[in-house]
Amino acid sequence: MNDLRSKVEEDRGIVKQIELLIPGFHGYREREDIRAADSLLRQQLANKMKEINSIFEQCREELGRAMDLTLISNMGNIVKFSRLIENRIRHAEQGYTGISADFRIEEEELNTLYEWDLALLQTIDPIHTMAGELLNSILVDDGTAFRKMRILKNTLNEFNSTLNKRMTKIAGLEVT
Amino acid sequence: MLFDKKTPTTNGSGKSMLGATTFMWDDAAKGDKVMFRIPRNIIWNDNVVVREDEYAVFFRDGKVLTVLDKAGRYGLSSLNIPVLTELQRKVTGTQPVAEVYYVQRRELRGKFGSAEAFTFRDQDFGMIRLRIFGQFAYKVVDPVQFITQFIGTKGFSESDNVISWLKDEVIMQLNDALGELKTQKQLSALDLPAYLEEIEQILLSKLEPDVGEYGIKIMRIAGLNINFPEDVQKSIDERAGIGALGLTDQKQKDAYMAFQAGKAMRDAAKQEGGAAGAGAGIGVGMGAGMGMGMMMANQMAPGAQQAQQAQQPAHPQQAAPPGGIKCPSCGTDVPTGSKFCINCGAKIGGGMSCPKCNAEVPKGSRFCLNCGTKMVTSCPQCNAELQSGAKFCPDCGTKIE
Ligand SMILES: [Zn+2]
Ligand SMILES: [Zn+2]
Ligand SMILES: [Zn+2]
Repeated sequence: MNDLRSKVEEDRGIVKQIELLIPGFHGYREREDIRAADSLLRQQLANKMKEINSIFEQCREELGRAMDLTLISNMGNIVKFSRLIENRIRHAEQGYTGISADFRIEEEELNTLYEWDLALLQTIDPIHTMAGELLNSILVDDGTAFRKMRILKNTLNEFNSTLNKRMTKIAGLEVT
Repeated sequence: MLFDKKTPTTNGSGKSMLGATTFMWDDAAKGDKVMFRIPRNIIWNDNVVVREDEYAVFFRDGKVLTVLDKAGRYGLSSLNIPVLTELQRKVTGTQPVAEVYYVQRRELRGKFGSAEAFTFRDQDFGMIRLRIFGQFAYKVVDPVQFITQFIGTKGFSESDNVISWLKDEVIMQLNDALGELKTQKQLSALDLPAYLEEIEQILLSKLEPDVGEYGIKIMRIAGLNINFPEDVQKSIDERAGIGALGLTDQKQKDAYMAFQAGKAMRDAAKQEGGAAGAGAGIGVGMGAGMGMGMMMANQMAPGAQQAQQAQQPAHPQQAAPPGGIKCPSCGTDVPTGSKFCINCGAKIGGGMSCPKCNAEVPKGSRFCLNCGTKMVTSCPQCNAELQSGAKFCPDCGTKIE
């Protein structure tokens, strides 16, 4: 039973996995769907990023309350960076002009897009978890906050560069 | 929804007997204003134009009725009234329907500054008057909350009221933050310039929840600037000099200050065409503590070049052979261990850090200028060069005391 189930999980393609993470996502099977799928993904990511941001803001608030002069600037940088990411996701949505109907997207390109989408979706939840853990360690002052902030910064960097690649790719598909 | 968006077919329709008036927020008048009230309460048949970068908030009897946040022209004559029966009763012909406020959606900037100098009770200086200013960027994120609080609760009607409230809030929280830094972190006024970035963040952390209730989000605080009264500023400069030399002990500080005073007098003497070049090469970097009084006496005497010879360090660990380094900038001989050229003030050499107190010590120093700990630079066994703080020689493995 277990074996069979894990076999099925493995067989799920990337698109299937994305569909599990974004309900209502129909994948890019049809070229015309790219725009809708892209917009769904952006909404999802931007909203999650917003939740994460509010946790980061709480972290800064707590550090401010504790007058923590050693950590608060670093925290400020994280808030700034993560707000920037949220804005980039949302702003790009506004500037989106659509995909030409007769634009042929190669399968390989599509697969790359799927991979980036999946990477983004799979990175953002751990960031959420890490943000919560950071807040906890600031609240109990267990001395691990600095290390957690450094790991978070790196993870945000990775997320941002995956986002860059994806945005560049999608921009290449835009019709102006 | 109370106000239907006009479709192209209804657009411009419905000229009443009184004539339709169209309201919009004139772009030229917008600028940094955060909100604008339509000059009269709107009535039946009025049109309201909403742009991309604004919200239109309909307000009546202390409550927000609706917010229009999509660009378009909205006609009151296409009211979908059944949802609000009370309003329906009131909406008759020329009866006013509601006040309408436009609110900016984009990020706005403001400057804050204490028009009145800030009174800061400092541990070193007693009451001092600081002038503080900086910039902030903010955004209305919740127009309902914004209008309810400012118009409904506070009774503000002008953008200027809101903005000056906001500035007061910034100043108030800044005042709080500085007070807490002083009591909780024992920061004195002299420490503040070193913590501007942290103060900005603390200020943000306090302001966000504070103004959040008003539907506003402070996005950034930048360019924080603290101006001190002249006498305090002078002390800061002096302390910066002391800090650079790594002097923390009060006796050393006093000696340094005395030296500074002497230097000023010497400079004055130079101006008068007196003993030219006097004082060049006098061991300052030597880290004070040593017979400063005597040194000053020597400097002020004519022919002070020989003063170097007269300087017998008070403590052996501060014995820095004079003339050990040449200033890269002016070529003056500077005693080993100096961080700054005593003639032109240029920075000398790179530093190492003291294994005991971590103070930065100029490269090549044999002793820490701060705590006097011996700075081991070579292995006593094989003479190999050692990193400061090394516990074992990397070459022969000898344990370093
Ligand atoms: Zn020099
Ligand atoms: Zn030391
Ligand atoms: Zn050795």
